[in-house]
Amino acid sequence: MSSILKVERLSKVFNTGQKDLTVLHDISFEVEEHTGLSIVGPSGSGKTTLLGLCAGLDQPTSGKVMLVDIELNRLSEDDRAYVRNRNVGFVFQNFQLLPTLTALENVMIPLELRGGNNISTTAEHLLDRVGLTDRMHHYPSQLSGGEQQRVAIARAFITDPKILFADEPTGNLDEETAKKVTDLLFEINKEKGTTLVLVTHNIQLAEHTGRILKLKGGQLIEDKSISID
Amino acid sequence: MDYIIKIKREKVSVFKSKWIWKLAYKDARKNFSRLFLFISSIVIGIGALVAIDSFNINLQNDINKQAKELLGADLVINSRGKKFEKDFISGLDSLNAEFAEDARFASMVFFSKTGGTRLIQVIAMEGDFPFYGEIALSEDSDIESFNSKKSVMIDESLAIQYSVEINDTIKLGKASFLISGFVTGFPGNTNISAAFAPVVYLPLKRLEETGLIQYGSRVSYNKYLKLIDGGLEEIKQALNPEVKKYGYSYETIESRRENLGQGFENLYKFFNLLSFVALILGCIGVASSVYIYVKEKKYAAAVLRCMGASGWQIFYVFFIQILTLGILGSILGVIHGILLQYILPLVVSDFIPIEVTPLISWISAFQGLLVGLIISSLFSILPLINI
Repeated sequence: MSSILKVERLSKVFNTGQKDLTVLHDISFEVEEHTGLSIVGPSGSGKTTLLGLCAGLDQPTSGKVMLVDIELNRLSEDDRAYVRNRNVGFVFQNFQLLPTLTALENVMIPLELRGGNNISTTAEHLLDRVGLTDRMHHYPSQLSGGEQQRVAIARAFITDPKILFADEPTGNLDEETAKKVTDLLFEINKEKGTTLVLVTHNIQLAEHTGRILKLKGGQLIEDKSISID
Repeated sequence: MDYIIKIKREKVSVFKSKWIWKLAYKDARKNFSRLFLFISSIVIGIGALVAIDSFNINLQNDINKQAKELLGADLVINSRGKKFEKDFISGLDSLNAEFAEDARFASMVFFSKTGGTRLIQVIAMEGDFPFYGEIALSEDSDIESFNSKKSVMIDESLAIQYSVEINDTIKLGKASFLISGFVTGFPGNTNISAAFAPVVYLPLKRLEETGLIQYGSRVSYNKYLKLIDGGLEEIKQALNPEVKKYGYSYETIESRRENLGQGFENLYKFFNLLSFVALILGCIGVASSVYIYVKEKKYAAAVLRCMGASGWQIFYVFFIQILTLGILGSILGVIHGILLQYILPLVVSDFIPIEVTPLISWISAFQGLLVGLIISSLFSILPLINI
């Protein structure tokens, strides 16, 4: 298996005016294709920042990120967006749906950006797959948290991404809904063979991915693999 | 050494990218109420601009058309404080022209019925003035008795103010006169001037009887000429030395047109300033509403960025929305401006001596559209670039 994501000596420092704040320090790891990885750690340990850097949403202070064999920090912002559209799917804690678009229109966005045929049909199939056939034309404000996250999952998978970044996907959901959403996410991920990078506080959920990276104070303190039953 | 990798990707023009236009529409349909402030700012600013500009154009056109009626004659010669010299009059008599004359001065009038008094302007007339246009009289006015009996006509506003009726008596100086009619319109006079200094009209031959003209009286004498064979330029040339010699002045239709034009130019400048202020306020409205709108859209822009949209694609999505609303606001502004065309003449009719015909000025409309587009583009680009 080849590596889809390679992080080398990655550091991120924020200048707060008076002093520099090191959020990530010398992080290195690799993720193989079609595998899973969870990033865990206490609040403020740099999990979300690391995820953002891996997806090319932000630029590191030093080190490099290779995503699908492309060094992200050597690309312009628009080129990084292009790479994301071709290779990456996102699921966020706050769902991040566009409030002015219906569920169907939200799901269609990534594929519309890429361009292609039968976008609407593909989006409808995915919404059907996540159990929202009757809610396609509803706006996010008309959907529950669980339903919104299911729309976000459908949106993340519409481009058949090589890698999926999920940032606390169940963080805003109750236990029961969180379980349903997690099951759905892992199911579709398995079906499509997507590499999964998950940021979570939930150790049980993290164990589902088969590998856990533990961060503390911006440093990688543990990288362990777990056998999935 | 650091180097930048360029990804080869297909560049799609904004006009060919259906996604940009579709998203611009989809996103805007839920935001129209929020963007109402943006539209209303443009509507008010452009409306004022178009209305004032069109009004000015219509005013200038009507001044050109109605200057003859405003002056009432081809040539008016004026003497202040003294009667025309006999030599001068005999010189004029040799011209092939129709003549009329009047004497104008301020005096007091006494209403015998009510005992009221009022400062008025006296116009003592002789001849068929006005040669162009007409004096408007109330229906029950008796022009025959004005010419034959010892009677006067008064401005209708004066009659209303003092509850005077036809055949009532007024006293001007030493003489008493019957009222034979009411004047509702006189060339060159406005309703507002009639309210401040209402006019009592009497035949010039009766002026002596009032005993009001004495040595030092501030009387303005006017001689009106209607040229039968034309030749105004030659007459002006011949008149110039005479006028200079006796200290008279004269006015032609052309000079009245110019004077009025200059006078209204000041009015136009004032109105233009008002419309400019409205436009500035509109600009501030546009800038602040676009700023707020763009601020709200930062979240959507970030999500689109995650999904893979380029900076320009996001810029165009919101720019198209704002530009479309700018066009819509400008069109509505132009329509408002045109509608105001029909209201403005009614508002100012009491203040100006001409009848303004409301006509659509396409130049002003086009200018308004252009200004609206420029404003909405200029004031939206800066906040959008920062998105």
